[in-house]
Amino acid sequence: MAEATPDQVKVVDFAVREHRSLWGDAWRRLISNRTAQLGMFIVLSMMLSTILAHYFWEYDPKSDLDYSLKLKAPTLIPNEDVPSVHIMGTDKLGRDIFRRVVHGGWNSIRVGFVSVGISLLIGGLLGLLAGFYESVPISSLERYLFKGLVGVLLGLIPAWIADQYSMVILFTGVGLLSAYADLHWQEKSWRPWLIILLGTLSGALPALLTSPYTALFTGFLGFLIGIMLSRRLGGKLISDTTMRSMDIILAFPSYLLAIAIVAFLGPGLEKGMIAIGVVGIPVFARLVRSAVMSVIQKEYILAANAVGEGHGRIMFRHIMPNILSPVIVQSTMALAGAILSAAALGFLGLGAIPPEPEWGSMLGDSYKYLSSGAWWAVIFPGVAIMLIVLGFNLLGDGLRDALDPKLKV
Amino acid sequence: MEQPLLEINDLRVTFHTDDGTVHAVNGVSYSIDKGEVLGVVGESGCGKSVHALSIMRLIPIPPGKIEGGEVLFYGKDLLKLSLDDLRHVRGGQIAMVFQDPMTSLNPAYTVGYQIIEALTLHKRLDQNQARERSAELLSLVGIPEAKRRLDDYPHQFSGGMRQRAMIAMALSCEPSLLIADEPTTALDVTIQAQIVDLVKRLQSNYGMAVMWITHDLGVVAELAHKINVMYAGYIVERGHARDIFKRTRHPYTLGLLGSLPRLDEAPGTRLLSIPGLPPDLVDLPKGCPFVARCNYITDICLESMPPLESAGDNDHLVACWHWSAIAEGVAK
Repeated sequence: MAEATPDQVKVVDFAVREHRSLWGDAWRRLISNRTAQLGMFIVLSMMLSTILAHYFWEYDPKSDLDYSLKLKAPTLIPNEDVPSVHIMGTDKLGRDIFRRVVHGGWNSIRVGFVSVGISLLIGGLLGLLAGFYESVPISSLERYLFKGLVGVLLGLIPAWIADQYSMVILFTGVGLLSAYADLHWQEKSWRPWLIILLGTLSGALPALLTSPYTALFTGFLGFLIGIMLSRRLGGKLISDTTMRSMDIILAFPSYLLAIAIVAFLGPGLEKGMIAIGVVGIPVFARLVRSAVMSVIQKEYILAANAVGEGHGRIMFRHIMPNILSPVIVQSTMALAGAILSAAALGFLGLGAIPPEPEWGSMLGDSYKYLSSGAWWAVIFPGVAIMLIVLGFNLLGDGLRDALDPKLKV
Repeated sequence: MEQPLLEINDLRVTFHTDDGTVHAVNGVSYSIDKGEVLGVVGESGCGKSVHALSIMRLIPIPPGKIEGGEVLFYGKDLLKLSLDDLRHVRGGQIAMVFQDPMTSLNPAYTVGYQIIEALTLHKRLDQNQARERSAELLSLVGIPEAKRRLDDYPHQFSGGMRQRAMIAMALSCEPSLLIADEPTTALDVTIQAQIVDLVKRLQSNYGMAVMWITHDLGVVAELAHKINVMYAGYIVERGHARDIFKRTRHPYTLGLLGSLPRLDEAPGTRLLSIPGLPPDLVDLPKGCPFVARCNYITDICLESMPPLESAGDNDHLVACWHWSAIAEGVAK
């Protein structure tokens, strides 16, 4: 027997197998999960069909009208009465329900994505800032940025009322000055009074050009803004202000608030998106804040600080990827909720403007005919809503299992 | 005399909690010279880590607060520096290694990415150079196949390897002071010895100063030039390593030494332990904080805190009213 040399023995290099990231692992877990597979199948097939329909199956809701086909039951084989195929029947205006369900998906699903996008972006950012600065001191540049931004945003309100947009510049100035005062005039007792005075003046003076009464009112608003800006900015203040405003939004029943916002903005699909998005902000703000507060205590954040990384980098590079998994799960679930809310608004006639197809408004249009036996006009859009909501919920469950393997026992 | 690298004067740190104000560090003063290895020893909760974190203002503020004192690094006070200027010191000139290697690397990024990030923060390097340098650093701290391991995620590293990677990160910008906060506590003994050797080797190669925080006197005996013994937020004894071990002057240090297992002990001998608990940092006693656990207690111990005074030659400092009595006992 010949002696074996080392290079004849093929050593398997087990130490460096494959560079598996957490996301890669999560993806593998997700696609091997039955529930998630089903959810993904439902969601993808519905989304694909609506997208394809939107781009490749022309539909003009305004000209789609045929009274001779009013409320026909599903017909698979054309006959004298119904000369065309309607697999889901027709509605009160003789429109093909299948076609409208498929095209309505474009609107319904879009509402879901856009409104969750709004909630996620605004709520996530607010939660991130609130959670981060609760335990990290604010640097001077950030102080100028924050106070200037607060000046701009709050200054817009009296400026809009008085129709004098020069006010915004004044309030920005007051904001920046108050940041300067925070840093350099800390022990001066007149510091808050100066800011309040300047706030009142910048509210009142430009408004005099409009009318003295407006000036009185915007002067008062300026006074309030001055009080806000005169407070020394700290992490606790940022966190408290954002979270209490979130609590105020949460105190309203969500549908009621959405209806109120739509009533304020006027009906329409875009307005519905904004309304549902705004209602969803607090959920994300709270979720992100609590996640940030737990991640920020981890030693790798301390290590990142000790290496000398800046706040922006720590927030977006180090904290964000580590809080992403609960946010992804919540977003998927929120998508289902947003589609449901959009349907509810549509049902109440506050969503898409007819004749634009949308699942909720299709239900709202047809439920009256249920008593006369036209079940198909209600069932199919209802099933569509149910399916997409079910799909997103199943996908969300699967994502939770995939992203947080600790939950599984 | 040459200016010390780091000089801490009367540093005081408190934490405001619901139970009251915790006095974590109560007027600590000492200095570290260039290239010196300082061991900081003491039991849990005696302010070792807090005072080290306070040097770079890394304690969470609030609830923490640096009440007073100064931390002079190359003569400039780190406590008065703006956050932006402080960032250049952090990592660039003072680096830190933490206790728990399992959580001190970000699980979302590869090890290489994190070392490169630390490198490029303080040095102007392009991606390729940074990658080269990180691989060098990884092999320097004794990780085989460094080039390939760069693309591994932290969960593919063992605890000891992670701590090595952390040390590589800390060394990336060639700091003049490395603060090691119990870097070997979470590791088993063989890895511990390797890490100690590694730091020793790197310290002599780079000539950097090291502050090694630990509760293990055995580790600092091997490593440190000077030792600070801390108790309840005070430095109770400070001196050259040999003096601390051979000419102990404080009853607490004596207790710590007594609780070390020895090879020449008869089998079956029970380890000594210091009776009692450290004092409540919310409500510190008026006199010496060690009073409740001390064998040498007299009336003056209850009355006032002993100053940190010279106990003979060789920069040996001790905060005890009865150090001369203890010195006699140790001499016997």
